[in-house]
Amino acid sequence: MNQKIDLIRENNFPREKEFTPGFLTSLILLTISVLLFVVIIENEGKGYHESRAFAPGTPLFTLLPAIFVSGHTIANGLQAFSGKALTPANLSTQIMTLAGILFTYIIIPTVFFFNWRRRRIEIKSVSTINPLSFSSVIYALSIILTISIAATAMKSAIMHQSLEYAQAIQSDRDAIIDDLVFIALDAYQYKVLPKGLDGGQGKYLGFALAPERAKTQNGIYIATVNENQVSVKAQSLQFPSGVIHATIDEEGQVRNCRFEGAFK
Amino acid sequence: MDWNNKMEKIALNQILRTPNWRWIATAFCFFVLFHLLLFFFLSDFSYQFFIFWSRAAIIFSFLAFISMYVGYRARELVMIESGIAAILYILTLKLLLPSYLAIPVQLQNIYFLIECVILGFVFAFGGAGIGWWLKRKYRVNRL
Repeated sequence: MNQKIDLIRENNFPREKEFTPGFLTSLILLTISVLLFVVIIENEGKGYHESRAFAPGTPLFTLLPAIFVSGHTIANGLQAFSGKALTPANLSTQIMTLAGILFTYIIIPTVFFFNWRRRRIEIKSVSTINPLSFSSVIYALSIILTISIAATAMKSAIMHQSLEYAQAIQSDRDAIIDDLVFIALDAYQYKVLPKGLDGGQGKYLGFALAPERAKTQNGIYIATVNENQVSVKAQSLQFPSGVIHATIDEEGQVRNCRFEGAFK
Repeated sequence: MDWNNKMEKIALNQILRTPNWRWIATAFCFFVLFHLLLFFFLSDFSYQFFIFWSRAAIIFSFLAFISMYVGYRARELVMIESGIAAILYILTLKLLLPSYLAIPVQLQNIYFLIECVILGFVFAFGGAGIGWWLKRKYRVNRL
C-alpha cells in the first residue's frame, strides 16, 4: 500500500463517485418523509394526549406497542377505579397500534435479516469501501432499529420477570401471615378454654400446633409457648430464605412481625 | 517537507475549501434518519431532548458518532460539512419540533438555542474529524 498514491488518487477522484446513482435523491426523499411522519405523529399525539388520560410523552406511534397498550390498560383501570365507564380505544389508536406491532416485530426485522443474508452472499471478502448506496442506509437503519427493539424488549422482559418475582414473594408472605392469623386464633381459643375442654385455663402453656397448622402448603411453623405469649417462627417453603418471626400476644393478636431473607 | 507536514497542509486545504453540498445534505439526512428517528422511536428518551444536561450529553455524543461515520465514509475531510449539517439539524428541530428542544423555563431564551447550535457544530465538526483520522489510520485499500 502506498499512502501517497492513495491520497493523490483520492483527491483527484470525482466527488459524484462517492455515491451510487440516485442515492442523494432517494435519501432526501426518505428524510423528508421521515420528517413529515415525525411532525405529523407528534402533532396528532398532542391532541390525543389532551383528549385522553395518557401520560405526556406517550407517542401515538411507537416502536414499543406493548408498553403503549399497557399504558392504555392502566388508564382504563384508573377510570374504572374512579367509577367511570371504560372507554375503548378508538379506531385510529387501534390502527396505529397495529401498525406499530407490524412495523416493530415484522417489517424491521425482516428488512434487517434479508439485507444481512443478501450482503453475506454478495460481499465475500472485500476490504474496499464502496460508494454510499441507498440500500446500505436502509440496512444501517434496520440494524439500529432491530437492536433498539431487541434491547428494549429484553429490558421489558427482565423488568417483567423481576416484577413477577416480587409479586410471588409478596403473595407468599401474605399467605404465611394468613396462616399465622389462624395459628393465633387456635392459640387464643386454647387459652380461653377451661382445662376440662382441653384448654389452657387463661394461659398459653401446653399449647401445641396442630399438624395441619405446623406445616401448610405455604410454610413450616414452629411455636415457642410462654405463659402469656406464643412466639412463632414461620419459614416459607417456596422461598426458603424467607422467614417471619411473630408473637401472639395475650389478646390473641399477631404482633411484632419481623421479616428476614426474601421477605425483607 | 516531510509526510506529516504534507498531511497537515492537505487537511488545512480541505477544511478551507468550498463546502461539498452533497455531504452537507447527506450528513443532514443521516442526522434525521439515525438521530431523530431513533430517539423518536425510543420515545421516553426523545421527548424533550434537553430536559437534563446529562441527556443532552448523550444526544450530542450520538450526533458526533454519526458525524464520525460521515467523516469516515467521505473521501475528503468533511468537518465543515458535518458542522453545517448539525446546525441545520438543530434549527430544523427548533422549527418543526420545538417540543424536542424543550428546556427548563429559566433557560428558554435565544442564548440557549445559540448554545445548542454551537454545541451541535462542535460535536459534529469533531466527530467528522475523528472519522477522517480513523479512516487515514485503518482503511487499507482505498478506491
